[in-house]
Amino acid sequence: MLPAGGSERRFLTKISARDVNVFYGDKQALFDVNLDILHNQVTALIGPSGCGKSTFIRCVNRMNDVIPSCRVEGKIALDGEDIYGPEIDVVHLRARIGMVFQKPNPFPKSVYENVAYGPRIHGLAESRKQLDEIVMSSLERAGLLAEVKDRLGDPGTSLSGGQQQRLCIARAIAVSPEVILMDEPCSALDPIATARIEELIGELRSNYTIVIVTHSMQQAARVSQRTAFFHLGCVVEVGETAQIFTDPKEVRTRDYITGRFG
Amino acid sequence: MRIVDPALQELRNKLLRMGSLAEDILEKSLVAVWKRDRAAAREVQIDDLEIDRLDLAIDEAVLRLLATQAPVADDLRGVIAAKMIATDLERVGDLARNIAKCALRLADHPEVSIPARLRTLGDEVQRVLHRALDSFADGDAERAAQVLEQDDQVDADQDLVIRAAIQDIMSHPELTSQGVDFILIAKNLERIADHATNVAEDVILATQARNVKHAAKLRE
Amino acid sequence: MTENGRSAALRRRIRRRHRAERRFRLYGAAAIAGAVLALCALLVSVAGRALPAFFEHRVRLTVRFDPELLGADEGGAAGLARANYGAVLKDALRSRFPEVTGRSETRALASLLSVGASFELRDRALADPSLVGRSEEVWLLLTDQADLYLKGAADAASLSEAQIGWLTALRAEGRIERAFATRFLRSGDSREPELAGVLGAVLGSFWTLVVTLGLSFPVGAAAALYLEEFAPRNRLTDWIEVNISNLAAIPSVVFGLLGLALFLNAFELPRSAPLVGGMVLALMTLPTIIIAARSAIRAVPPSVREAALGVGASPMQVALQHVLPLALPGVLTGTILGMARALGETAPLLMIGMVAFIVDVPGGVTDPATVLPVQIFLWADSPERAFLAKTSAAIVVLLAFLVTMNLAAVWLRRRFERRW
Repeated sequence: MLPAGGSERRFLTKISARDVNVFYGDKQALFDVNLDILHNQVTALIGPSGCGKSTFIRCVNRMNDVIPSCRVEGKIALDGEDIYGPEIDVVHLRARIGMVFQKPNPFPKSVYENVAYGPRIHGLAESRKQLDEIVMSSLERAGLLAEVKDRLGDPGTSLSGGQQQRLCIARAIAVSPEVILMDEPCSALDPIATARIEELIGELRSNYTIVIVTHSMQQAARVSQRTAFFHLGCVVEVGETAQIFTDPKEVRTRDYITGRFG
Repeated sequence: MRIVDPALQELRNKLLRMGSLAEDILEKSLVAVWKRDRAAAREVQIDDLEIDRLDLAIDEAVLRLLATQAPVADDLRGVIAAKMIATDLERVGDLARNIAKCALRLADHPEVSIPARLRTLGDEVQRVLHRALDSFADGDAERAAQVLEQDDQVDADQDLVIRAAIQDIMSHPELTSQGVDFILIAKNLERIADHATNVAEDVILATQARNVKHAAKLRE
Repeated sequence: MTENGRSAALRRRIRRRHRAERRFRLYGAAAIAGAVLALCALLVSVAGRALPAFFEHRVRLTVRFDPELLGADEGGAAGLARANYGAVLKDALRSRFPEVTGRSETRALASLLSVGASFELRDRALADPSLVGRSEEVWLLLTDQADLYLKGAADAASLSEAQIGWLTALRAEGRIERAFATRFLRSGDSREPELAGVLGAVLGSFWTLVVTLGLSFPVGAAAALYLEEFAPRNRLTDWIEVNISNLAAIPSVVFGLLGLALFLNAFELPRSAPLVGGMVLALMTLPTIIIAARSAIRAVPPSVREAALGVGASPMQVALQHVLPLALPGVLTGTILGMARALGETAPLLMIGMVAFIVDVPGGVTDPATVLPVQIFLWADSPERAFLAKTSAAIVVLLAFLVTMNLAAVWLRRRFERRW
C-alpha cells in the first residue's frame, strides 16, 4: 500500500520504510510496511492494540535489536541511508533518533544528571560550562526549566508524572537528535499534563521530526500533520491528518476512527 | 452499537420531523393562497413556532454531540450538515409565514384570480422541497444532485411570474396591491427553492464529502 | 431459619473467627518469642562461659634487676635480650618467701608464675635498660592453674597445698589483682593457656576474608552481569545456570579437597596461608554471590535499560552505569551472606592445612595462619581446663566479627540504595 500523495512536496522525506516485514520468531508482526515520515512534521501512528505501530517505531531506532527473536526485513532509511546497514553504529543511531516511552522513566539520578548523561557519553560538551548550557537549553525547550531551575540536584523521580515525562523529553533533546519517537507519551498522564506535552510537541516540530504512537484519536488529530492507520500489521491508510479525520478513503480507517471497531 | 449512535439517531429524527413540518407548512400556506382560507393562514403562524422550537432543540443537540462525542469522518459531516439543514428549514418556515401573510391580504379580495403560473410555480417548489427532503431521508446524493439542477428552472419560472405580474399592475393599476402580493409570493417561493437547494448541497457534503456550495457563482 | 436465628448464627461465626485470628497471632508471637529465647539462652551461656577468659590474675613482686643474676655479659640490647630473667624471678620469689628451700619446693613456688613472666621482665629491661641494678615493683602474670584457682574453680586447679597456701598469703597481702586481659586480644596462640590469644586467628580470618572478597566479589558480579545482560539464551547458558545452583549446594569440604589437590600440590602455594584459604573459600562463595547478583540484576526493571539505550548508551554502559548501580544492594547482600558463611567455615581450611599450631601473628596473605573457627576447634580439643573459657571467648570474638561485618554490609547497602 503506497502512501497517499501529498501536497507536502515542500517537505522532504526524513525516514522512509520500504517493504518492511518484522517477525518475532515465527510470528509475523508487520507485513510489507511502506511509509514515509516527513521532515519537521509530526506523524501520528494510530490503530488498535497489537496492530504493529509500537513494533514499527521500535524498528526505527533499532530498539528491537535487544529482542533476540526479532527479525527485520526490508529497508528503513534515515536521510536515504539504510539504518540496518553494516557500517551503521547503533549507538550513534540512537543519538540521532531519540525515544520517549509510555511510562516516564527518568534515570535514578538528579535532574541535572538525567539531562547531562547523554551529552556526556556522546562527548557533546568540551567543558562543564558547555554541558551546563546544553542542560539548561534542553530543559528550556522541554518547557521544564522554570519549574526545576532551583531543584536541579533533586532526584529525577521526585518530580510529578508530567514533569518526569518532560524531563525524559529534555533528556532526549539533549543529544541533539534529528528525530524524536514517542510511544504513547501521554497515556500515563493526567489531562493537564497531557495538554502541556501536546503543546510542547507543537513547539518542538520546527526543530525535530516527530513520530508519535497514540491510542487517542483526538490526540492524533490535535498534534499531528500526517496520520498513518495501522491494522493487523499493515499500513491501511496514510495521509494528511485533517483529511483522514474528515474524509478517510478506506472503509477500515473510517470504521476504526468512528469507533465501529477496535 | 456505538455510544454516539442513539444521539445521531435522535438528531436525525428531529430533522425528519422538521422536514415534514416544513412541507406541511408550505402546503398550508399555498392552500391559504389558492383557497383564500384565513384559518389555514393562521395555522401557518402556529406551525412556524413549532418549527422554530425544533430548530432550538437541534441547536442544543448538535452542541452537546460535538462536545461530548467528538465525532469524526462521516459522523462529523453528518452533524454539521444537520445544523445547516435545520437552519434552512427554519427559514422555509419563516418564508411560508410570509406567504400566509400575503394570503390573508388576498383573502379580502376573492374576486381577483390567482395567476395560473403562480400555481404552477407553487407546485414546482413543493416538488423541489419534497425531493430535497427525500434525498436527506435516504442519504441519496444522486437525488440531491437532481435538485441542484432544477434550481435554474425555478428561477426562470419565478422570473416569468414576476414579469407577468408587473404587466398586470401596469395595465390594471387598481389591482396593484394584489399584484405586489403575487410578486411577493413568487419571491418567497423562489427563496424556499433556494433553501431546498441548500439542503441538497448539505446532503452531498454529508454523504460524499464534496462541498458543492456556491458552485455557480464561484465558476464565474 | 428465622431472622433471629440467622443473626445469632452470624454472631457465632464472627466470634469464632475473631478467636481464630487471635490464636493465630498468638502462635506467631509465641514462635518469635521461642526463637528469641533460644537465641538469648545461647548467647548468655556462651558469654557466661567466655567471661573468665577476659580476666587474668597478676601478682606484684619486688624484682631486683641484679646484674649478677642476669648474667648479661655482652653489653647492650643483645645482652639484655639473652639475660637470665628466670633467675631474677626466682630471686624475687625467694625474697618474699624466704622459708621456701629445697629444689622441688622452689620449683613449685616458681611454677606459680607464668612462663611468660620472664619475657615480660625482659621486655621491661629492653625498654628501660637503666633498670639494671635497681629494684622495681612489677606485676607479673600467674600461671593458668593459679588463675583458675583464684577464679574460683578450686577443684579444677591442680595445685598443691603449699601452692594454695602461698597464693592465699599473697592475696591477703593485696599483692594479687584481677585485671582485664588485653593479651587475649593482643597475642597469638600459645601452649600456655594464660598466654594464648586470638589475635593470630582474628588476623588470619581477616586476611583470608580479604582474599575471598577480593576474588569472589568482582568475579561473581562480573559473571552475573555477563550471564544476565550479554550471554545468549541457549542450551549452554541454561546448563551453566543449573550447575551454578548445584555448586552452591556442594559441601564445603569438597572445595577443601580441590584446594589441596590444585593449589597446594599442583601450584605448590604455601600451606596454611590465608592466600590459599581465601582462594578455596572464594570458590565456595562464588555460586552464592552469582545467584544473589543475578537475582538482583534481574530485578532491575527493563524500563531503566530502555531509557539508557534510547539515549544512545552502549550495552556496556547500560550494564555498568545503570544496571549494576541499581543491582548493587542485592549484590552486596549476597556477598555478605557468602562472607558470613566463609567466616565460619572450618572443614575446607582443615583440608588445606590451616590446622597447624601457629604462634606468630600473620602479617600478610602468605604468612602461615589459622582462622577463628579452626582456632576454636583446636582449643576445644585441648586438655587444659583453662582453654574452656578461651574457647567460649573465641566464639564471642567470632560473633562480634560477624556482627561487625553485617553492620558494615547494612551501612554499605544504605549508602548504595537508590530510589527508582
